[in-house]
Amino acid sequence: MTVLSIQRRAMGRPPTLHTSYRQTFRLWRGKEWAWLLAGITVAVLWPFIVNAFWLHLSNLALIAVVATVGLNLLSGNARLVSLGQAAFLAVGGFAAGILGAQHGFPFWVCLLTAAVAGALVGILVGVPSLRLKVVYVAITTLALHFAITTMVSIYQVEAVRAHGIVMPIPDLGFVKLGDSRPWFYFLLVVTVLVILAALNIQRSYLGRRWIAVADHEVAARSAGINIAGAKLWAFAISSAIVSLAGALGAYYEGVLTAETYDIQLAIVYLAMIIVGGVGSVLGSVLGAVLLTLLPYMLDFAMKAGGIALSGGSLNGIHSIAYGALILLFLLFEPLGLAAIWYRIRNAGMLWPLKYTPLEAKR
Amino acid sequence: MLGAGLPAGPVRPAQGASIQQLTTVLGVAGIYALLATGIVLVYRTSRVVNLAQGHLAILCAFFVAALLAAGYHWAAALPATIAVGCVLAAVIYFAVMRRIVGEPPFVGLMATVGIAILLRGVMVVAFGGVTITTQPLLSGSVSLFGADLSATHVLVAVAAWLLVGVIVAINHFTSIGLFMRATTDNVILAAQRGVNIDRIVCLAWVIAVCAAAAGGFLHSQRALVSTAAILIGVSALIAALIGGMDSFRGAVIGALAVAVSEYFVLLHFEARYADLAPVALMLVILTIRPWGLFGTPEEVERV
Amino acid sequence: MSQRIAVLAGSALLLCTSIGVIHSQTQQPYVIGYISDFSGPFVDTFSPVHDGFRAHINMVNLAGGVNGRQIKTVVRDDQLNATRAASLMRELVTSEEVNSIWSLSLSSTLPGIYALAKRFNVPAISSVSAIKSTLPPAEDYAYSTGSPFEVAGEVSAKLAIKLFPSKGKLMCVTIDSAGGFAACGHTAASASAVGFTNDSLMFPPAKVEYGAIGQRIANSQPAVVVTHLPAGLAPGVLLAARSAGYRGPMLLHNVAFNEATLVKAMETAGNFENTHVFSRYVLAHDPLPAVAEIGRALEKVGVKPADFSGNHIAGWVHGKLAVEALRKCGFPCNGEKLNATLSSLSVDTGGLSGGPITFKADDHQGTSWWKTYSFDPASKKFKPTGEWVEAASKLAYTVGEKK
Repeated sequence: MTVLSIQRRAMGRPPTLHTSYRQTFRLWRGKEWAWLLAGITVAVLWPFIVNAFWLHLSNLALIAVVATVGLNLLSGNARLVSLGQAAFLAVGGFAAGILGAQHGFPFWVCLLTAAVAGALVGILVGVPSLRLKVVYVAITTLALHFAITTMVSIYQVEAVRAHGIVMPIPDLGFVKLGDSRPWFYFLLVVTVLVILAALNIQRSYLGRRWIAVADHEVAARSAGINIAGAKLWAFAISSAIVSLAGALGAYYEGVLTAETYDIQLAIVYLAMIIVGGVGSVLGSVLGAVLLTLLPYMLDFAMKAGGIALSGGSLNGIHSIAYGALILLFLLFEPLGLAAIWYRIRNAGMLWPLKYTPLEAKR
Repeated sequence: MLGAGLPAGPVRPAQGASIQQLTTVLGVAGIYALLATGIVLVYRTSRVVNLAQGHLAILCAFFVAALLAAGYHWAAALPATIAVGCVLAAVIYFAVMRRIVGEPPFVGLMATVGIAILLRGVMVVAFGGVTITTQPLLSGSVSLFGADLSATHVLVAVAAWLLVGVIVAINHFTSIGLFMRATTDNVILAAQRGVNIDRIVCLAWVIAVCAAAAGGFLHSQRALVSTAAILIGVSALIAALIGGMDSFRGAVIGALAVAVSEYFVLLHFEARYADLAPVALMLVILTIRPWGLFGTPEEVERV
Repeated sequence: MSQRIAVLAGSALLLCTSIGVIHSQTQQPYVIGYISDFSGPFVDTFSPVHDGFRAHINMVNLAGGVNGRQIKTVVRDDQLNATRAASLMRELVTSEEVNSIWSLSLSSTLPGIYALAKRFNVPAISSVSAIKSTLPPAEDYAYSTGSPFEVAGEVSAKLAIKLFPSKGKLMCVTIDSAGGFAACGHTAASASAVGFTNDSLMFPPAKVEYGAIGQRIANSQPAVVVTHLPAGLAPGVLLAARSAGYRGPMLLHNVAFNEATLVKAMETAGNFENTHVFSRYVLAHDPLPAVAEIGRALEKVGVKPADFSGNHIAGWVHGKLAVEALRKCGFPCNGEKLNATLSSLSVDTGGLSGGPITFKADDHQGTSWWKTYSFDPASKKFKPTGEWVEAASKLAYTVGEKK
């Protein structure tokens, strides 16, 4: 575990000379102007480049990025593996559904309440997890999954008496989020804010504390870290972000159904952080985008290959793809797509010199 | 008019009903215990929590049902399924589990999640994701203690508990079992004393998958087989956690607790909370005794 | 040499036919969308429904199409996932430019699809599941040829009292969902009205262990059990109830289950007695000539006679409605025009149901007719018992109404 964390940190940094601690942890190095400009241009033009369907998929991917960044703080940085991702998404979705659709509260209030509700549920699950380690935490969150999904489906039956809660169209005051295009810009802003927040949390005392606890609890405790506090903060912040994503998803889809939040969803989100890169924000983004698009890319490939999309095994093929990706990345690239990108970047920056990152040998 | 003269529901002695209920619960608990024993065995030897046990069980159930539907006699279909289970176990061990020895527990857990979702896909691709019924081996009913019991239910209960007994006996009375227990207690010391850890862990996986296959087959005898049925693996996992991940006795008690709590809530309370009952029971027990009823307290620190 | 001539002649023939096909297709076809579950948990329901739909469209296309045009169906697999279903609907509407979405899967995916239907002005028509959106007052662009739980609930007690006039306790068994709640609510309301006492059991949809459910049915000792369970679950509950010793009559609402699976479950339970099914469309075991005709059409698209089920018939009727709607709509037929056509459409089912499927401006479900079938152990087939019973789409009872 320790080797893995050192490796992760070594991979994440560009191979340049740092003369102070502050320099190492700086997010903005003053050289990213070109990247920033290119990013903004693409982002602004994106809705006009792609067709309506791909814009819709981009929106789904952005929501998935928010949720994955949240999950990666908990399961990647604090190493508290959560099988409760679908439950936290459901908490956010139904908080928004109850307040926004059933009681008519404004959009912003619902988003904030969803985040707060998520944080509270997170702390609630965090408390029994304080005495437990990885596997048991996973099981506790699995228990949470069953509890929450049962509760929301009972709520749907008893209080709504319908198969889904129809969400209102959010009104930001200056624009209504009805079409995919305004949604894209809105979601992009939210995603960028969440990513910046996550990057800042990771390099702050709060985030470094999580990594220390995950690496060696006893050592962390002897260094004066409040273990319980660190774990509870991890649960609270991560669940708040995930619930926010759940609320965004509910508003974006327009209809909220309890059946959406199944265990498969939780597993797909774990696949996202493994494929993307455990503990890395960049990894969360890459994993979320790749795995959100994967089923549709597979559909596309099958259609191009002349295979009927109603052949009766599509679900199986998607499942096999998720499972195979999890296993392949665990076995051959445990640090995920992020590591691949860092390797390429470092090689590019140092070319023609050779650079071998500190790598754990199996 | 049709049905006018038909009997309006059964009238049976209360004692018969309670024996019948007992058989049902014992059958379900036996299947959970069989799966849970496999989970415990793998955990004891390699400290990996196998989240794919239910998937393995139902995959094998689909396989045996396909063989039976193709006209093979069950005496041929069952050994064939066990053989496939053994191969599957060996593949899982050598292709995945062996390569992640020594990694943090997180990796082992995620590997079994990956295997689980992969197997689910294989199930859908190979068997079409449909719901199937298997032809039961026995038909008719048996009279036991003055109650008319379905022969299938009796068979399931007896076979499941017999197999659990066999696995526990292997662990306690054979030399392989001795090696397994040595591996559980201290891997490095066991390896030093000449125990082939590789072979022992592989064997544990083989036994676990065979237990899953048997559990899946018995499940198919008394209920429908579909991809949704992989949830019996979750029940088995909860059973193992309630009992303590490293204790066979715990797995048995845990399986009984899960089956009884499910059954009791379904029968006497709101049926909609039936799935929550075992989960709630597990949470209570894990809060008071994180290592389970019969587990070793140190295990909580390990994984 | 003769081989070469044969090959040449064969390819020439192929060329001619393909040119012919191309020629006949130079006219733009109708493009309709079809979203259903082909690999999710309800594949055994929706795959036959699609086969029935496909067989009918195929027959019409071979006979020259509608208004001289072929019908092109763009099919997608939603895997019973509401998010995916909504995404696919967006894809079909924006990329494939379909004018309607057919079949759909279970009720959990319907609200999302219907909301999008209204937004894109593309009608969505469900084949099996039906939710309140299509009952009067119906939502715009939402249609159904399926069996709404509310209506089925109300009709089930009427059918039960006809079959079992001895009265007593009627037990309604369903899954814990909005549809299940509606089904058993309306069953109970109409059962009280005809003189039954009530009991009901709602269990979690994810349940795989039915032992206790069967026991609960046996312990309750009802005079009749009515189930409103989707395919896959009904045989399981039947099996469990029989295994637990319940020998009384069971009346199963045909929510698209496969007769063969049901027969197998009865075989497994070792009990064939007293099993009845009520259905909006005829079952495949019905001796009607129209049913045999569908069987022959299905064989042409590769469905084995042994697999022929009531789901195929539901799909066939669904296809029939699609064809009639397109015929009346004319060409070009966009979503809005098709919606206008659908909202005043009446299609005769040719004896496959008790009457025509009739949509009105505020009623996108229409009056339905229901028939009971009883299992005959000797022939191992379901035999029709009694006549069609009419059920209005306007509900007679109000159950647990909330806004």
